[in-house]
Amino acid sequence: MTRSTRTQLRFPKKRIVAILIDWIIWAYLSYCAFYLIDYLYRTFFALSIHDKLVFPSYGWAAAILGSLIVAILWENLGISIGHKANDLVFLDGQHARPSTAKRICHAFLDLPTWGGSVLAAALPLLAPIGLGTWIYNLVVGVGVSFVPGITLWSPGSWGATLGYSLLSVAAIVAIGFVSVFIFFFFIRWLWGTRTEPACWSDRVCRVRLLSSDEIPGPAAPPRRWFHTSVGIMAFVLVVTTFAVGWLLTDVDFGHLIQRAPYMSSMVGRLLSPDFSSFVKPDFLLNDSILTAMVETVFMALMATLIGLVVAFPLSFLGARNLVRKGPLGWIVYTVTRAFFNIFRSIEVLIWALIFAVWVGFGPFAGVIALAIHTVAALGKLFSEQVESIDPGPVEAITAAGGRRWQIIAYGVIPQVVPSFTAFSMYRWDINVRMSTIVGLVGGGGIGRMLFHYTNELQWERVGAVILIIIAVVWTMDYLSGRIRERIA
Amino acid sequence: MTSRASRDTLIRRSWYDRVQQVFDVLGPQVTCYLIDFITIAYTIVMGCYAYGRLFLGVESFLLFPWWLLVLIAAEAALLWETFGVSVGMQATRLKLLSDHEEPGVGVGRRLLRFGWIHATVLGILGAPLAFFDRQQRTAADRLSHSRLHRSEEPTEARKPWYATSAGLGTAVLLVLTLVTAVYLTEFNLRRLFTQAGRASIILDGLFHPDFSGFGEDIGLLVETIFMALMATLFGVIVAVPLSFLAARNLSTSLVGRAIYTIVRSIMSITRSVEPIIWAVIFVLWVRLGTFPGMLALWIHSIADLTKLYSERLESIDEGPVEAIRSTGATKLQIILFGIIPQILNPYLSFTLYRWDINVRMSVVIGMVAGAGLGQKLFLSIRYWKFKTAAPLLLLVVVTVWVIDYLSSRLRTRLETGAAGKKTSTTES
Repeated sequence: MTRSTRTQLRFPKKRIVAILIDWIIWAYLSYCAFYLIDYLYRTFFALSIHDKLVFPSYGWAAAILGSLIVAILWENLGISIGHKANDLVFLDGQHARPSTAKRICHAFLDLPTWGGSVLAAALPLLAPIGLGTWIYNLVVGVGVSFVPGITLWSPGSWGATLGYSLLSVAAIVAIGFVSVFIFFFFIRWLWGTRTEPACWSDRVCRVRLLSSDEIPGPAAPPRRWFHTSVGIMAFVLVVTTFAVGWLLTDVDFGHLIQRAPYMSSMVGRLLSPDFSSFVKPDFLLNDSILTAMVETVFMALMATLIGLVVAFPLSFLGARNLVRKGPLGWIVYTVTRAFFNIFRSIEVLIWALIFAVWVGFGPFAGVIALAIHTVAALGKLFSEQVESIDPGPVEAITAAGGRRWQIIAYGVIPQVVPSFTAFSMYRWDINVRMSTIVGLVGGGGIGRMLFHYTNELQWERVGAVILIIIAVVWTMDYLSGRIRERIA
Repeated sequence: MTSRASRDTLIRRSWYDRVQQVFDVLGPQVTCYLIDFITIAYTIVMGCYAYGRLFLGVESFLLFPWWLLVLIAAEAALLWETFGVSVGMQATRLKLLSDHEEPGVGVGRRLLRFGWIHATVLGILGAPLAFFDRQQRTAADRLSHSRLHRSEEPTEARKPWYATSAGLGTAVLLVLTLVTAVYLTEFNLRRLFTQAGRASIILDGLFHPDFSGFGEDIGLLVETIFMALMATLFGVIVAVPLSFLAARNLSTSLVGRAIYTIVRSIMSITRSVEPIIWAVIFVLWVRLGTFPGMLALWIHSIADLTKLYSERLESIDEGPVEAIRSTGATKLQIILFGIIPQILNPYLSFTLYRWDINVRMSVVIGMVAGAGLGQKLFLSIRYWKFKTAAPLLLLVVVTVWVIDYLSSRLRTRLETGAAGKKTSTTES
């Protein structure tokens, strides 16, 4: 692809985002509709659609395609949510709303346009997927096949394997190149260029898709929400979401209220806490509330310290303004950021579950779990902070011929220390909260006592433990708030 | 200083002013003493624990009776404050100054001060001496010709930390804390490697995901997301009216203030109980399943959203409200046309933020409530089926990522949108 083609290419970002939004909305609606119909069948006829009406194997594809068609029709015949969100309006040559005939014609032209575009976009994706599958199969030793059923390689024939694998890699690379070319030419032909920013169907129907600030003249007066398709659709979405959510999560407030009298005794017992094992160790658990609470606070402390020590150097690798320009720097940055994001999105309790298996039950598992999550969370906050520093001192030290570590030590660190301290205090706060519950999955601390008493239904003791937890969390909250205020 | 004190005595003051002044002087001194007392007591306790674990093989926080600890800490704190510059004095910016024009306070006077403080605090006869005179000085201050003076600049700014007793004390405290923490949390990095056999099983499972139950997993994911969604929606329904009751600027009457206090404190207590604990309670209340998980998230969302909403309500622009009130509008009309247009976008933004949190939490809640993705994840890890757990973890990561991205995009859009609208109205 030459440079001129690339500069001339107009990537219809707004249009794609709009159709994606509409497509997802309709796919979601069809899912909800199917769920509701299935639910009705189950309640009224005591049978499921799944049993009676077997969804064919192409059912998914049909539903996805169908929702795309409906989304296209909606975009053309009305004003869709996607167009509204991206501020797009269809207009004809006289800046008026196109006639119905034009819009129907446009919709019919859009169908193959979007369908073809989706396929063309899928082509470059298919090549790496195929490559990945084949490499995976080669590594695992399942065998490689172009067509299902015909295995080109079975474990044992190494000579043939090498040839076939080289061949398949070459084929995949070729397919990839060809498909990328097809994709870009397709887009160029369909979606116009910079000089002619109109889509193929727009050109045929003499219609233009403009954003609302490009339109001359006064804006149309706003209409009541139930007169617009966007409003009606939003309403339908909210209602169906409520209906499906209500059924899916088994909402049953009647049951909640019906059981309330039984629960009042439990709440009463919770509110008359039993502090008998506050200092004296509990016989079964061999632990008193006080020591367990101390252990919990120290778990949070250790986790925060470890997190701080590890996240501090890592945060400089995850800051875009500090890593070197070039592919190596990009890789370091991306890997660090991906590490932060992946490890942050797995909750502390899941980490504790894994480490309880790894190092055995006890506070150590909890500390490691909390520490990993802390590293990821603090690393992200820290590196964002490093990215937003004032570049002046850094440039001054660079100009004076400072080395990389000197830049960081004298140009960056003095600027970020106050906010790093504040973030660490904030994290310490969260860790105290979290360390009270990691005991649920074997992480030690007061959570162990809490869930033991809950399982034993000793509500007076549960009440005592919860009270202590609230008191400690509040105290830590207050202290860290005061210290953060002081630092800021 | 003496001139300022004499000027103070010239002006006649009411008893209220005098009490106020006494508290102004007393407050930092008491805080300072408490900080020192707690620091020393904490250091002793940690020292006992570390010494016991290291040399005696005993696990105990106190190797002597508790009253001895209180006595030692009290005396040591007083000694530190009288003869040196303590941590508390650094923190509250107090400094021991002489009444006369001389650079420091001599050892003799310090001893005098130390003794007189004991006389005033311990002896019943000396108790009247503890009261302040017209220049807010105690007997110990008067008789030792010195006083603790509060200034804005730091007590000891120039010296490095290892040259001051406060710095050294803090260092000892930190080291002891670290030692105790290592022992108390059974911290043992070697265990990470001696148990590497288990780790290899875990990693082996996680890198060879078993996608045979992926359809079911997606169904569970949908259930989990809907759990979060319903909790947020129900939470909004309850939190919006509650936030009007919990806003300080809207509740001016006596009844309103009482309601404000009650709502705020209930929400504060509710919020400080983790949703997991709520889930445990609701499982017993209702049954196992998605519903108790939804309820737990709901309760926590109400508390959190009420706080966020009402804080936003407290910071609204009073202009439009005043303008509408001056036209003689009713309370409902004021809320509808003066307040709601201002808070709509921030409310939506907070709701999205809360939904984001709820999705994260719903996985964990599922572990307790026995519903959705969380339950399957919990069971598969507990029973060492890491191959089954891998696709679930993948789904969790992708979902959290996508929702995090979407909600942050939408939130910035909402915030900038609100700003844009505001500028356009001011222009027109």
